[in-house]
Amino acid sequence: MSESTSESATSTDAAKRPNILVILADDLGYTDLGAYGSEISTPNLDDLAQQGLRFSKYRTAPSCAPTRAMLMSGVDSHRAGVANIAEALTPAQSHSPFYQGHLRKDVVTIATQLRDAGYHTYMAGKWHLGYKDPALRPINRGFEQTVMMPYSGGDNWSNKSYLPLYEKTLWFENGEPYELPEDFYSSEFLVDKAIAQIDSNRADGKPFFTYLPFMAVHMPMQAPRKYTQKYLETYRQGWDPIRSQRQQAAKAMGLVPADAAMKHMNTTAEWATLSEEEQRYNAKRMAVYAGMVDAMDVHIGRLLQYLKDIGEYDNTVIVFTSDNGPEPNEITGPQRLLMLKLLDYTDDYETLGEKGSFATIGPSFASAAAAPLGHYKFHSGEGGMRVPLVVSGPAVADVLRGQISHATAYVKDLAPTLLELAGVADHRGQYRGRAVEPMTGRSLLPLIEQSATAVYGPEDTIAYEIGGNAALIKGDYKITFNRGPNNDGQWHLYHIERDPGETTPLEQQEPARFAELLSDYETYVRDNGVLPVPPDYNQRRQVTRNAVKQRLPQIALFAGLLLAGVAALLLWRRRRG
Amino acid sequence: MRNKLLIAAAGLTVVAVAFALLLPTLLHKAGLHPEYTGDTVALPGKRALVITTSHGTLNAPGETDGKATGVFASEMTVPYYTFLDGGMQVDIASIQGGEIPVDPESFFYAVRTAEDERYLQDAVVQAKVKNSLRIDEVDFTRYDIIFMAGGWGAAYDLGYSDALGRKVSEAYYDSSAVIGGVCHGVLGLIKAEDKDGKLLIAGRRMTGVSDKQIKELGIEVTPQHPETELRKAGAEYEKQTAFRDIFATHVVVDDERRFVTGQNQNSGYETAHQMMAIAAKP
Repeated sequence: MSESTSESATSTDAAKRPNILVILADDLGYTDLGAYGSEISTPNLDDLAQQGLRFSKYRTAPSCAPTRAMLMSGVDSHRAGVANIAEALTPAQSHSPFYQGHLRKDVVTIATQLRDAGYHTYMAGKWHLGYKDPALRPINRGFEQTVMMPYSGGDNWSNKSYLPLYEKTLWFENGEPYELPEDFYSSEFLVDKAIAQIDSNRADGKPFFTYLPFMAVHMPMQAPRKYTQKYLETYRQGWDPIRSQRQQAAKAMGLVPADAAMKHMNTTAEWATLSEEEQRYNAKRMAVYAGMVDAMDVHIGRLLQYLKDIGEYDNTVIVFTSDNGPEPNEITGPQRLLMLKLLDYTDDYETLGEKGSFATIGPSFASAAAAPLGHYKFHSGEGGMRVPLVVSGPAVADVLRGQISHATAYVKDLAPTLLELAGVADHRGQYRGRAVEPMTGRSLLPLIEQSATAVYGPEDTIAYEIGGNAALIKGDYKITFNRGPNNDGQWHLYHIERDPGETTPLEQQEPARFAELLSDYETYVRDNGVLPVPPDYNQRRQVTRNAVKQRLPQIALFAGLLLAGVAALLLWRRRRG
Repeated sequence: MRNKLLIAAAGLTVVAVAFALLLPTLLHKAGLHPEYTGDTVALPGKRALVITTSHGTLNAPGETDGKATGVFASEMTVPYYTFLDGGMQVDIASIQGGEIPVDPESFFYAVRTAEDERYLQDAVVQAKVKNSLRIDEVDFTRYDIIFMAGGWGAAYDLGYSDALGRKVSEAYYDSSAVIGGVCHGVLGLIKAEDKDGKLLIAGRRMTGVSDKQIKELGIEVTPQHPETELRKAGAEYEKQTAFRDIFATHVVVDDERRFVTGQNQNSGYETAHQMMAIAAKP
């Protein structure tokens, strides 16, 4: 009897499919978690890392929507229709099917596949893959329950917009407009919703897939005062000691080689040249950032505790990662005044991070958040692309728990990995009788369930392009290209295994390898419909132009009313005279 | 009187502007960089090598100073993009490796091609040009097409390179590569030897830039002239001529269909496409 029961239990366990929880942070840097070398307190995520497997060379697109497209589909961002965020497309690009800013219809999401395979599918957070056409909303892309914010970002305390591009930040619940509660704070709210969604169908015993894309730590950086307070003294010496600290911690953990050099960005200011007031202000805004990460971790902890309380924790595969590296942009000059006035924010020191405030961290601290890597969000340097990836839960082999995998992995790989975990076959470009874009990501399961050391061979390539910034990785090497006033607009070759900081260009020493990778990139361009950007392309300026264009009806209406008023006044004066 | 002068000045300005705007079209109609309207083939998975000069100065013998020159851009860009758009992987090599000098006159607005425009925006190809492969380190037998670009710099190094001559021979005997070039690029063929130690191109029909064009361009100071050198090597030299040979073009496929040569900068399109057509038919 006892033996029979045991056998039955084993059989049941073998047949039971795991729940899947994908937690996506926004703009979190490579060393922003304690488990990756940070001074920020992230005990819940560190526990996940200790029980699971960390990846040292996992890469994403260096921008949010393309990463989300690849994560949701396993399809290259261009072929998925999201070569860049919709807000940044040029008129010429907008005509290409690969440059729509939203998932194309012939892309099938993992949510659709998991739902069709018997999973409950839930989503709470930032979507950024299209919403104007209701068919684009996550409720119509495979998720049976959603609480969704469609934009690139928004206020973390209210539905105020964070860019003049949007009138206010929209929210949708299950595809319909949703009013935020008065006591809204984004990380807390999203976790509450995720718990409510899982709780709603607990009784039927079906597994769930929860996709939880946080708004933290995307600008505006905002955190409750009690979190910011913890870090007020942490950054008083500036970014240089933080960079060094994180580099040392990353080396000590084996995330980067012991002799890896750190790239010094020409956008990093000299702390000593700042005034005392400037130093104090910069220290606080980074404290807000740290507080925001900390708060996210605390609320993730609530979700994990909930899973333990309902007995599902041990049967849940948990994936934590970020969509790209840290945000370097800050709001200065006339743009700042416009933002604060028009959108009703303050950036005063005293309330920075709290409700009504708008904080950024700037390029110097963004570089610290990506330490010891170079570059950050929007750039194809490692700091923009290499981010934490933690996989935890029953899928991870016991011998690998708490370890670090040094295998190359890419965001496209998460979709085939999760589908394989759920027992869903690769659709290979045909789904329920129709042609869909084939997944080109690779399952990472050999790295997680066994002790394989690679799923990419020395001849395999991973390539990427956004807004003209581009990269290609092949074996231990990478070529990279960054445009703009702070970059040289040229391709460079790096031995990325030895030199993750991309400090020593090798194209002169190894021209044959350089030529080979450049040709591989040309193949990528051809196969993925990559369109060049104009020579004078500037992503922020393009976003602004698109914003003005989108707001044109309002501007025209306002101008019309103004003219009508002036005309009426003149007529009235003439009649009276 | 002042009105008449103003009208005359305005008229002259209009004429000058119109001429400037029409100049590219006029030169094009006269024969510069003619459009290719023939057949095209795709060669996915195949490889092409474009070879250029490393010499960047139009200097008299014994001197080192002179006007800037190098590869004539269209003689590199036209075949490069023709091969690339045909699905080929394309490498760029030069006699010395490293940065290839590009003749700045190549990019004069009235002269430059669509491919030149494309190149000027193409950081990938610019990177290959800046870090070109050194021919000594290239295995020519790994390529299906080997194309030698001209430009006046080639008059100083392609025809003097023992390494290039040796590697052309290797490509001819040890692979099925289609070999050729345009303009001064064909000088890269003159040192290649057959297995009996005789010149490989002897007896073959070939073309390259005419002595007349060189004279008309005023670059007789250059040390090697393709028409002269091809004849010396025993090749059966052919050419077309025009009131100015810069507007002529001619392409020759040798009887064995292993060598394709083009007369000048105008011949790049047809030469490249002919090479691809031959490479496509084993």
